[in-house]
Amino acid sequence: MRRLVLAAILLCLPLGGAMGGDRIWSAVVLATRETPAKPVPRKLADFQETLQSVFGYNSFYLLGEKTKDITSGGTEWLVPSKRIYMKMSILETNTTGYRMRIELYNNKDLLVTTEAKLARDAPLYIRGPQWGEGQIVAILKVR
Amino acid sequence: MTDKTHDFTQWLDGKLPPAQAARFEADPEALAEREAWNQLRPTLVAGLAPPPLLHPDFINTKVLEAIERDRKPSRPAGNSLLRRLVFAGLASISTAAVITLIFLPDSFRRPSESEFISQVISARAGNPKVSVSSFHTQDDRGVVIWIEGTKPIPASELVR
Repeated sequence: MRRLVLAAILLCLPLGGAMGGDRIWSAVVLATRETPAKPVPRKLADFQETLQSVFGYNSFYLLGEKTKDITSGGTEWLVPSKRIYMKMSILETNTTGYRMRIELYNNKDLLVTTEAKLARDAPLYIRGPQWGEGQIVAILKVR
Repeated sequence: MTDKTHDFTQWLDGKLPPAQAARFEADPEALAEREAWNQLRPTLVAGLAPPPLLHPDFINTKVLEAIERDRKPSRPAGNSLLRRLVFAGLASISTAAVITLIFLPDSFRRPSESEFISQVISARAGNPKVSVSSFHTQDDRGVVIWIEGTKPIPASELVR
């Protein structure tokens, strides 16, 4: 009985990291300059300040978003839009976030491969290609 | 008990003063009763006496032990079970903490401030003509990967 309890504890230990119900939110945003500026979508309100200060645009459109549960060891495809999407692999978990490998694609073209530590509620912005007069920005955030 | 009965009983026991006892001494019926009583009395006394104990010391010891045992307050069974459960729970938590400390020492380490900020460890473009850089944002502990030189998406094509 004692051995059984010990084995159960050991089996549960790897699950005790940061994956307690964490999810990753991915979005594709079109940033443009317009006069007057368009109201920011509610789901982008938290990112407005950074999007404006970093990318220099005043209007933002949410082209697509996707939320997925974070699972260890596997590869996930995050497809917020049919054209701009990401491949994500969790490499390591810790108490504050995840180390992951992310590949950003435009259609079938690989734009960038990155290894990054994503802390919880601290987003990753990727400046994508231009689209018409606007700029594509991909956002990833662990929640 | 009437006075006559009381006096008669006292006379049978030989405790009645001689002046009063003379009344019963003169009564043949009373004398006959006293005679019968005197014959019956030794038998009754023998019958009321307790039987002799075979091992009086042993029995005495056992009685004293029983008295002593009854004096101690008995513990309820439920209390004992609860105590065992609490002990088992605390032991399990302690064991889990020790094992966690051995195998996952970082679990007990307080995260540094930098661990609450997203970081880019490495980034490389899929196209060698494209440049990639990264920097931290000021407002939301975030990080930006800045890609320069990618082919623009024509306005006529859909992105959604």
